[in-house]
Amino acid sequence: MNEPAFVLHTRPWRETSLIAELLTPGHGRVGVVARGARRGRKGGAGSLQPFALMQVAWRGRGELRTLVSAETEQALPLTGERLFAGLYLNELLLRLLQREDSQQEIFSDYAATVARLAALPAGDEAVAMEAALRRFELRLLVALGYGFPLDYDIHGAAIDPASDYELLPDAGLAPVAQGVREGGRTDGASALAGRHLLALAADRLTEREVLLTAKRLTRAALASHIGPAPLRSRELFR
Amino acid sequence: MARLQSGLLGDLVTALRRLPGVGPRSAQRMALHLLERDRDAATRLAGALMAAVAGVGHCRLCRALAEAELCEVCADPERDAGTLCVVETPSDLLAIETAGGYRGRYFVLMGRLSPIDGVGPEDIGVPELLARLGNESIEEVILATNATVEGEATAHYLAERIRAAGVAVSRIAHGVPVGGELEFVDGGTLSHAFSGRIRLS
Repeated sequence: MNEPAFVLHTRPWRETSLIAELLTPGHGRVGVVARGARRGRKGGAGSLQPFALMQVAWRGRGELRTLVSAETEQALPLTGERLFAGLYLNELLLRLLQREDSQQEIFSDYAATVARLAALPAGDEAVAMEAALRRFELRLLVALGYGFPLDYDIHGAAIDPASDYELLPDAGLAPVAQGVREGGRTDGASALAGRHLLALAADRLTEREVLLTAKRLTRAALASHIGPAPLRSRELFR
Repeated sequence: MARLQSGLLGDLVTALRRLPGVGPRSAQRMALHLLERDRDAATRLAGALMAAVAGVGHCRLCRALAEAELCEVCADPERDAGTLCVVETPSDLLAIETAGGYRGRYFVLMGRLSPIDGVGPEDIGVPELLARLGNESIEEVILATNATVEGEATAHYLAERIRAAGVAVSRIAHGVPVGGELEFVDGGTLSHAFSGRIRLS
């Protein structure tokens, strides 16, 4: 097989080899053994680093394939906070994707997101970085079949900018009853403002408040699919 | 080939297989060599292992292997106590020592940040490192983690916290290796070499 790929993660295997988890368009997540990759330079571990678009070939079948060749087509160097953001994307994908499940859109979304992170101007990247991560998460949820509308609630009513909503796992957005909220059952922090949800639906991710709501929304939506163990790369962000 | 699996000999073979790069066949060859050809060496090896396991611990300051409370580098009064070099493993420390030229002290992380493998800041001694910055008069921290994605993430994470502690922090340069030809250097290295260029004066 010859395919474009991104390395999501590598770990040492035996004395001189690596096991790499790849993200490919045609085969989704693929596990490959790179024999001798930790020894010497040629085709070595240096070329099996995350955040570079590669052209790879493998043979064999089953859980782990054997990597035959890997060539970097375009390195997308991530530095500083952007590196943490990239590691977060990789951890998310490893937790959510099954091996060998073709995911064309996820591959192109991932490639576009990493390229966007790499191209962010240094210094003032925080807002744009958050926005890129949230867009990726929302599209990932849709691609995996966990998507839900952002502009309609579970009863089919349009989202009201003046109301508050909450996310019901695997269902969608439900209005938070005014009385319940004042009664203190749902604290203000977990409620999602309709105004912010509509901004998200229209892809306007510029305001801080909207980004905070988006983060709470995607966290809640992803939580039921990634399992109880926390994502460790979140610890890296301050 | 029949394998030695039981009895004292079997135990020895199993123990030798714990060594990196030693499979069942090499382990058996080593065991037979020690017992048939060189019993003397076997006794010495056993003694040296017992003594090392009992006598070698970790340096209180840099976490490298040491026989005393402090390792040789940390105990050496000639070393510059104002400079601290952070490395991932003891073999990185040895590589820098072999290269020569560095006269400061070290801190060994015994790993690197790798969220996907579940390795977080506490697992690589970040609290101990920051405590040293408070207790000693360190003027500069040199981050010599590997030029891998995880090494870079570790360096960035440490740099932010060290800066917050008010200590100057630098990162070792990555670039074209000595004796290397540009034509054969990979793109990532070359772009690092350009962004880290130095002005000739």
